[in-house]
Amino acid sequence: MKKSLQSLALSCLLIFPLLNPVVSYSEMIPNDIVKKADLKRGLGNVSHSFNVMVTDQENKNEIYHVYFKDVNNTLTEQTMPERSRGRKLLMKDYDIWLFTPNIKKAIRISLEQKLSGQVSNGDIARTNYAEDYDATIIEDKKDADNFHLDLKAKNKKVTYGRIEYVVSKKDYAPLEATFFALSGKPLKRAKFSDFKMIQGATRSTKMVITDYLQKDKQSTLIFQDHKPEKFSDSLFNKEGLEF
Amino acid sequence: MIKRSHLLSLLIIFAATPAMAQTSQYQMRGYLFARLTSYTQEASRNYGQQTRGQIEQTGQLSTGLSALNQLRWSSNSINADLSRANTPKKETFEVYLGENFLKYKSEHWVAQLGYQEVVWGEAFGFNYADLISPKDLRETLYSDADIARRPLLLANVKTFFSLGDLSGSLQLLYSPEPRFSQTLPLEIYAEHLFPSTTFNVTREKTPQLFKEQEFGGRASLSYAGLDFSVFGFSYLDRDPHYVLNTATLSSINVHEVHNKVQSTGLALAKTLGDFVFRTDAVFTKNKMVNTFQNNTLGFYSTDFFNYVLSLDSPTYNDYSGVLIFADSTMKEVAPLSFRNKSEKYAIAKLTKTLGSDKTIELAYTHELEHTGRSLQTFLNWPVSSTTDLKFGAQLYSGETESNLKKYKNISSLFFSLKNYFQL
Repeated sequence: MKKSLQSLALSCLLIFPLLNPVVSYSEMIPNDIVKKADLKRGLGNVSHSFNVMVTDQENKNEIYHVYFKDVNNTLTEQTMPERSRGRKLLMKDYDIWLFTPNIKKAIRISLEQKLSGQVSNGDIARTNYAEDYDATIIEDKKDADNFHLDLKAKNKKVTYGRIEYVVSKKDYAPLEATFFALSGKPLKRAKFSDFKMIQGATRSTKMVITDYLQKDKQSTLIFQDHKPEKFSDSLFNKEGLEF
Repeated sequence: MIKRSHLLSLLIIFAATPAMAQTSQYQMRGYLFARLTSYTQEASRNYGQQTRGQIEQTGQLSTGLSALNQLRWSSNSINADLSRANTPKKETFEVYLGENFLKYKSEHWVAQLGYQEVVWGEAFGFNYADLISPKDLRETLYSDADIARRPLLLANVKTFFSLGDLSGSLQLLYSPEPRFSQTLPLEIYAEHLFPSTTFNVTREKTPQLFKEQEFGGRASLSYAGLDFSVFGFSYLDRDPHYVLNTATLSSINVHEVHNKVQSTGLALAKTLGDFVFRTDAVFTKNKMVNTFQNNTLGFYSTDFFNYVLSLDSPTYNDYSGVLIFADSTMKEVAPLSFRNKSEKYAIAKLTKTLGSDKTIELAYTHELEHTGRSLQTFLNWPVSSTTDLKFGAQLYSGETESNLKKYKNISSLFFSLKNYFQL
């Protein structure tokens, strides 16, 4: 009896959503779309680590190891090339510090400062757009398959003033983003691709960033080795970077 | 007979070797550096050379415990480059131990024991708060501060804390073996007082272990876009004053003395939109300054107040800039002193990124009290993942009393090569 009740409940759970009317795209809250797209670019707001390989247009490689505690606590450590080994970038909320082994002290820098090639500090250290931007949907009759979103910075501390973001309607996969400075000037364009199964979900593992005006200036970011991990608070203390 | 401090270094070197460390946590790496300089002014010869190298090994001995040791060497002619044209050019060669320490790191605190370099302060350009580690002051005219810095034997303990958005630390330092900076030739400071005179300087030796002691601490806080720290250190002055031994009409024999001084200060960095403001202010008590009153070499004690202000711009169209203002003022000054009562500098620095980490930098320094000028420019070109090239030029000029004019002889064009390796 108990078993048949369980089967009935399970059947109801599976069938009930199919009976519900489908929520139209226009009724979706734009910020929810951005949140879902964020989860396609990382593990979301859970403590984990991953590696990023940045390759520029001249095929020079840089490798970073990222300690992601939550959206407001990220530590990025460079492991390649040899000249930059041990360089660390700590981000807490909107504060960011750079430590280099030769300077031997952590120095405060701004989010906008370039990390490498076309890559800004925030492109690696602060990637959850839903946290930093308010989204609105833009009508695009030529492209009915995708959401076209306009993301406006919630405050002036974030990396970009505005982002035009294209997200697939099918599975909320991020496809393309155009980044604008606070002044409104277009800076660069990014394309997201190479979706792979990571920690139980499909996520983008490649981001190609191209300068908006000089199209030959390009950086490719490959995200890999995502794994859930716990970190102590002291790892994200500016004063601990030198150790 | 091996000194006790050398025994500590040997112990750390032994500890960091692969046999002691977990193999997977052992690394050996280093760099080789060479620089050629062609002087454009009246240096003793029209070229200068400099080579440097460092080998470093690090080993993780157990959870939380690690060791690091470095061997450094340098060969150069820069000491003589600053001297007057009639001074013979001397090449020097040095091999010395760099940082050598044991480190224990737990969740809330870290302790390091051994020879290490500690840097305080937030600002750049003039590192008034960088008062712990001695320096090779000859290098500061050619290289970044990290190359000029020398390690000091220290017990260094730091504890960290976080309270919501507020985070900070408390650091305590103790050194049983003060070390001194390598100074520029004395003629640079005294030439206007003793023209055509040669100085023979006897350096003060590093005091024996535990004979002199240094200690201090630093407390720091970070909150809502602001980093703030206060610090104090009681130490033997890294810079010497000079005491007369004997003198003839053509030469003066002096020896160095380093007296005890106390420095207190604060450092601050604040984000202002996309800009970053930094300041360091340091008050130093009882610093000695040489003078040439009544036809004899003397010295007197006074207090110094030094501060530096700087503003970093964000990157606009691949350009970024820094503006710096620095002021070093003595409380009292005697006539015919080896330095001016007040020394003020303004620096403007512009960097353009040329792609692939290639940068070109232009820096102009203006000395305010007695007009002096310095222009430096260089192209930093990482040609591969392990090799950097640098081409540049530096020019010093100004009024006779200005400090920047004193460095006129090293106005030059230069080329350098740095290669990084991992074994």
